[in-house]
Amino acid sequence: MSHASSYRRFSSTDDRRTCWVCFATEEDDRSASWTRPCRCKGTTKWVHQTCLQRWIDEKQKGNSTTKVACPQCNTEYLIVYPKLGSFVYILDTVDKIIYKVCPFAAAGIVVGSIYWTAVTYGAVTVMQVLGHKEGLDVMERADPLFLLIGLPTIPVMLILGKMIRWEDYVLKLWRKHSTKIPFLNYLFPDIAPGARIPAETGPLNDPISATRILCGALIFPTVATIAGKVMFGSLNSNLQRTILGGIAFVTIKGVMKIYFKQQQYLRQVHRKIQDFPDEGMSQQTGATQATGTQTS
Amino acid sequence: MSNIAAARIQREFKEVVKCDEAAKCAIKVEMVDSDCMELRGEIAGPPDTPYEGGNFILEIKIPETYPFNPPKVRFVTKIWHPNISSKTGAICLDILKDQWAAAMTLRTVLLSLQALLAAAEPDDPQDAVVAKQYKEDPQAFEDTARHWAQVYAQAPCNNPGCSAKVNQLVDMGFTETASREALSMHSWDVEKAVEYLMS
Repeated sequence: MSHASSYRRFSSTDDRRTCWVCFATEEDDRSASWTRPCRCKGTTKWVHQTCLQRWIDEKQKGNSTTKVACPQCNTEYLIVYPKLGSFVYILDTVDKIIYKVCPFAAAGIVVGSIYWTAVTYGAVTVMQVLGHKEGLDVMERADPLFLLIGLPTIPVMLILGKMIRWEDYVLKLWRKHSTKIPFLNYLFPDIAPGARIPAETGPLNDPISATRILCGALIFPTVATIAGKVMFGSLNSNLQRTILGGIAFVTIKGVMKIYFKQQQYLRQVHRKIQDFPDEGMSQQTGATQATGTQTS
Repeated sequence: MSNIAAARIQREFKEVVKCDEAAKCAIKVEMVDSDCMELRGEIAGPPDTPYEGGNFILEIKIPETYPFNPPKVRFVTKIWHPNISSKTGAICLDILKDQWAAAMTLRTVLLSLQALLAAAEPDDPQDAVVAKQYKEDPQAFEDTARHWAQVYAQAPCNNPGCSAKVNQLVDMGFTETASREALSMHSWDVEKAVEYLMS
């Protein structure tokens, strides 16, 4: 109770103490400890330790490093924590370091995983294209550094290659010059002069078409190998077979895509918008016309 | 309700009842329920403002975390003021939000609201329509605020012009509240108000 007696001396000069948080006076709770944490005088000079602690908790919202000031006089509260033992200090430091390092480590793990996935994909592709044994031989003889850089570029190049929309350029060229080549006229019936030109739809940039590019690019070596085996089975070299198969596949697919796109384009060109079957109109214009619109 | 909140409200209640302002009938607080979670405040419109002579009733809700969080205060009496919603009575005042301090009391909150009626902050509005009128057409704002105070807060000295226009729209078949709101929003331009009500 030495604290209480030392405060008693002050209270004679300081008027009655009232806590500016709970508004209790000294008479209400004699055991509570008091503090005057800022420059405030008068009614907001004194406050209970526990009440001010709660107020600071409320202002800090869980972040114990946030500075808190008195809402009246703006004096920053001097908050002192008990001194840490050396072991706890080490634990605290380690805890802070781990907290800061983790985001970078996580980013590194993600990037590393993507890289190694690309390396593995590259190696599998090499074996697929060259044949299992030949592929392993080539990679064993190659410089490891060259492999570490070269293998992951395989999927990257495949995806970049897939993003070239060569069919569109061919289609544009054909649309321009189709009138000059009679065979094409038969394949793609000519558009009557003065017909409407549909609004240009730009290349699809939505996430779905991005996944389509990704899947198409990564599955391409497999498709090329299969196409090579089916169409050029007589050739002995795995590499030749796959390259020829790939070229054949791209060409056939390109032609079909061009044809499909052109047909879609023609549907757009020839679309019509129907009159709305308006009842009010038909009543005004007479029964004969009303039946006409119904039958059409 | 936690002990601190209840004990504090009891003390504050006593303080408001015996303070000078209550003696002058400028502010007043009543208990709505016995555990003091909800209170009813009343402030007089400050002199030399359009609200002079009016009595504005407030709904005060004390949160469980009081006094660490501010009380929730809302105007029950409809009022035309840039920082108070003309529809809901919600108040935009910093001390009722992030600038709240535990040393503030029911009395200081009510006095702050009274001061807000005397000095609006149109740059930090709660009701954008009112704030726009306050800045662009101060005379129309004053007429509207005075008219609303007369109709809803029992302020004396009626302005016959506004009431006549409201009655004109009521005769056209609109409700009185809707007519008054439409006229107030359009600075008492009858044609624009009708157009707004029809749309």
